[in-house]
Amino acid sequence: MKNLVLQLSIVLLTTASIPSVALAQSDAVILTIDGKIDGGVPLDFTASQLEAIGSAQIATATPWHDGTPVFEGVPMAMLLAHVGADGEEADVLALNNYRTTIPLEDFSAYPVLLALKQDGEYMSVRNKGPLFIIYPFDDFDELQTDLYHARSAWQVRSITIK
Amino acid sequence: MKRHAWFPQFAIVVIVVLGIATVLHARVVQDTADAVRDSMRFDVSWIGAHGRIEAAQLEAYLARYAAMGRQADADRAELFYQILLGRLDSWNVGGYKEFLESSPESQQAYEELQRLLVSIEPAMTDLQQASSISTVLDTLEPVGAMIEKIGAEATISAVTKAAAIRQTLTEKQAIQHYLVVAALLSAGIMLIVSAFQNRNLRRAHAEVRRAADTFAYLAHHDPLTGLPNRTAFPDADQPATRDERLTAVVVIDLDGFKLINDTWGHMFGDKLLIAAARRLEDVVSTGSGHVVARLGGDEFAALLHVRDQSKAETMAQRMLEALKRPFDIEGSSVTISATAGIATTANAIQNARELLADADLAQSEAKAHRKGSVAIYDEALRETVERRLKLENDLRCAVGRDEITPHYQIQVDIGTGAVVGVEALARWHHPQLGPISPAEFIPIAEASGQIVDIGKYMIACACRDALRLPPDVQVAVNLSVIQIMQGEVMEATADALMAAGLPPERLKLEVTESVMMADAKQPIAVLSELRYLGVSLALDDFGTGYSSLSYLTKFHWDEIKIDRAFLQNLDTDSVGLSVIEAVLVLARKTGAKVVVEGVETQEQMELLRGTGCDIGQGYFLGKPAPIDLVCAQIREINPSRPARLHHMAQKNRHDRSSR
Repeated sequence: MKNLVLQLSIVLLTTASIPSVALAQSDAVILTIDGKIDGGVPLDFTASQLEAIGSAQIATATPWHDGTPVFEGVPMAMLLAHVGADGEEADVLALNNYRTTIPLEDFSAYPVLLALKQDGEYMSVRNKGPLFIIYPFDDFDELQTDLYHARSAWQVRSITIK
Repeated sequence: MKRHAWFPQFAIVVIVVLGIATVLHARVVQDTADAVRDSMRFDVSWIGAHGRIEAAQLEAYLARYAAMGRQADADRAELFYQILLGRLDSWNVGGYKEFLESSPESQQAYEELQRLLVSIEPAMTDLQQASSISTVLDTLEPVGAMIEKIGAEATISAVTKAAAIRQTLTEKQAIQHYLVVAALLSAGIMLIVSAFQNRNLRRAHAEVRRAADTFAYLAHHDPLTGLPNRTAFPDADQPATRDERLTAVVVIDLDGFKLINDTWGHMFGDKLLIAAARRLEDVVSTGSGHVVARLGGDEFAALLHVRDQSKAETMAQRMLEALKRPFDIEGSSVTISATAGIATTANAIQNARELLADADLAQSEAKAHRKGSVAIYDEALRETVERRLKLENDLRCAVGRDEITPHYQIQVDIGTGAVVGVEALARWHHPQLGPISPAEFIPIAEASGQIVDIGKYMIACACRDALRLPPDVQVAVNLSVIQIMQGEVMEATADALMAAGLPPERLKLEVTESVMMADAKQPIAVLSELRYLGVSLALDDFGTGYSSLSYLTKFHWDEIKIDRAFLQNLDTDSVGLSVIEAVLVLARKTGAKVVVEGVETQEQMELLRGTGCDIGQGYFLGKPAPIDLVCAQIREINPSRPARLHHMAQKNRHDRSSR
């Protein structure tokens, strides 16, 4: 049932996000997913490909922003379902070589977002883009600890499912 | 109870302490949680360290590009430049910004850093020129140290803050610890005190129960003998066995106990009662379900379960015999007898109290007629007693309702046959029961004290009626011992004589010999006063009872009336006649006339005439009759005497005296 709802919303969101493909900055690959996924071959994604998977928003304050920005991007649960991730955790590597490991349960327990946009704008590298793992900190008090802050990687480059 | 009064206050204090401890603890827990949250805030030093690495990467890629001229390195350098700029931006918000603002030196370093990084932006867009790279590298040269500096400051700040948080945590934990200890201690004290309190309550409860038991015992037992008392008696009913189908109550009353008490003292009396109780117990306790109780005073009762009435009687006899054996008390030997009454029922549910009342009744009857005996209650006894009670009750109003009237029986001079006197006899006509014999109601009146009023009334009637009789006819009225002992008889007699205007010598008062039996001093004093008043005095019923000859010498009687018993068998038995002759001799010596009662035949009359007796009285001579009939009778016997004339003369005298 849950899966059905998930897939239904993916279809809907996919349809809705078709025009945004044209708006993508470039068709450069910004994310690679490898490890325990369908086919076992690493998959590359451009921004428009990611946006085609699905989209959601989270408005939350973070320790690294003033105010309460609205983040928009592909839900991690959707992304992992899309690639057929079959593992326990995700090793996340950032452009600045920052590395963090996130248990996959996080993505089913919370609507975690792989954000592309902040307040409607694509995030640049300088602004912690192009991809930023955003937890809904404001909605769940238990997330406001340095454990989840550390999982909340910015300038994400690749994800390895293990 | 007072010693426990502090407990509620104590309990309230403990509860308040516990409450405060709980509230404080909750607060401290909240504080601790806040401190823990603080400790988990984004680590400022960590973000600083990354900046240092990113700067080094930027430099490294620039250097590689300068050395090898590969575009990829230039791109990487550009990327890290952006990353570094982003890093600096992120230092300008949240926790890091707070840190920077708290440290002017770091703030200054940050601003310098920002200035430097922004200043290389033109060069970064134009890396193809060698000068640009060297400019950038030169500019970046102090950046590493600056980031280090800020990082070091941030670390110190973070460590200090962490230490402060740890300190807070430790303090809060200590406070929590103390609060928990305090709460546990007060709860412990509360438990201990409660345990004590419970023990005290248990003790108090036990005490109360003991006291209640004692009171219950006292309420149901006679403290002197330890026997059950009257209250407990009806409860003492025990299931009878099949053979013993009758329930019997025996009431036992010691005879003459009051005398022993008065003579030997109450202590002695009490010891006698205790000893008597033990003997009764010994007799009665031989059967199961039997109970002996002390009803009060010298009255005991036994509840028995027996086969038949004769068995109950046997038991009662055995109890009386046990009491008859001499008691050895305080070195003295005392004997006492007792009288018993029995009531039995086959009805198991009959109220023991009723049975007790019946047995008591039987006992009273036995005591009245035959001390030392056993009487069994039956219906006849109840009727007798009820009739007596009714008579006693109705007697109170009998005089007032004129139900009691005097009848007169003539007394005749045996020598001349003339009427010399009449004896007034009280007749009671009961409205429902008809005529009641004096033999029945006089003892009742004597027992209840009514005799005083009746006697007074009879004297008054006799004095009034005497005026209608010839002047040489005396009127005799019976005086009860009670009247004499009460001491009002003198005044009553004087008043009656005065009211009627009758000469005292015409009134004769008859007293039974029982008056003289006990302490004769007072009766003799009263009789002497009456004699002084001028009335005649007769010794009635002589020959019955103890008939001490000394009675004849102790007082100067005008008349001695020999009891009718001596005339009963006069024609066959000459002993009676001899007694009459002997009394006659004694009477002559004291100057008293002799009257013989119960003359019923001509033969008796003749025999009496032979002895020289003075006066006769009896059915042969005349039955008791109302005053009018007696007047007519006298006129008939004494025709020579003009009774009417005398009557008128008396009346005139009466009128004069009443003026």
